[in-house]
Amino acid sequence: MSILIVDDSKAMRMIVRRALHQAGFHQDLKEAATGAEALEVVESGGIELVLCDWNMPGMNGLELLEKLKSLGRTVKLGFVTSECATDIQMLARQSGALFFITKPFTPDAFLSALEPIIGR
Amino acid sequence: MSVPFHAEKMGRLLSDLLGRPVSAKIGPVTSAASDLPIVASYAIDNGDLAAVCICDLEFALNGGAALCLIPACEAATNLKKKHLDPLLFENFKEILNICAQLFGGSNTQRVKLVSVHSKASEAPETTKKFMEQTRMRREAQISIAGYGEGRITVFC
Repeated sequence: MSILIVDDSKAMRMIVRRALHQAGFHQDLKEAATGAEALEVVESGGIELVLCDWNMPGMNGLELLEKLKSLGRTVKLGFVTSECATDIQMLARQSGALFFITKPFTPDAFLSALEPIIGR
Repeated sequence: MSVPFHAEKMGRLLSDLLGRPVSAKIGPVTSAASDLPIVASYAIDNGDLAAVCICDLEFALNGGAALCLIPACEAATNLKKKHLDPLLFENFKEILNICAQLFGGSNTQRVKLVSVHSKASEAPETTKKFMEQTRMRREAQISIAGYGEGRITVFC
């Protein structure tokens, strides 16, 4: 599965990448530092799953999700974010996010959130 | 606005984030605010400050290194030179960002990190005023396994 990690923090992209490695994903991992960059990567084709931060300068995670929907892109998207407020989580789900992982996350929690999506 | 601060909760949060044991223990206030360089301001949605954290260089370097598994000796070398390495500082800002959870929650106002300064003198006037006016001040000693220690002072 081709996965795109979107986060304006290089450190967090590295941590998410590490968590994916621990969950068994070693290939087809791409990164984007902004929502706009993520959009370009998705538009270039091949991405099946987006792991996205919520708060980012410029286009935030929710705006990215809405943009992908408006463009008719069927890529799956979930949030990996420091936001933990329940109203934010509800908004994310209502907008179509498949999961909402709160940082910091344990490897088990990360895998549990991804398993229904990746079918392992 | 007054928000609670629990050092043990910070220790657990940092342990989960850094993937290694971290302890945070409240101790007596031993440092003047001006001695600690890193100033982080947290606010609620309307912009009102909810908390200010001041951290020492040691915590910033050790935390910043631990987050990305940068060797502890890098942090130690920078500490010896009293130099805040830009990469370690960027990493530490992410730790500070996640620490916003300590000051809010699902049942209370949402609190987020709004600014970080590497020199106390550069902190906004609102931050300085908040620190002067806030009664609750807690100082905690942070210990990151495999890296070292540091201090954080919380005004909330």
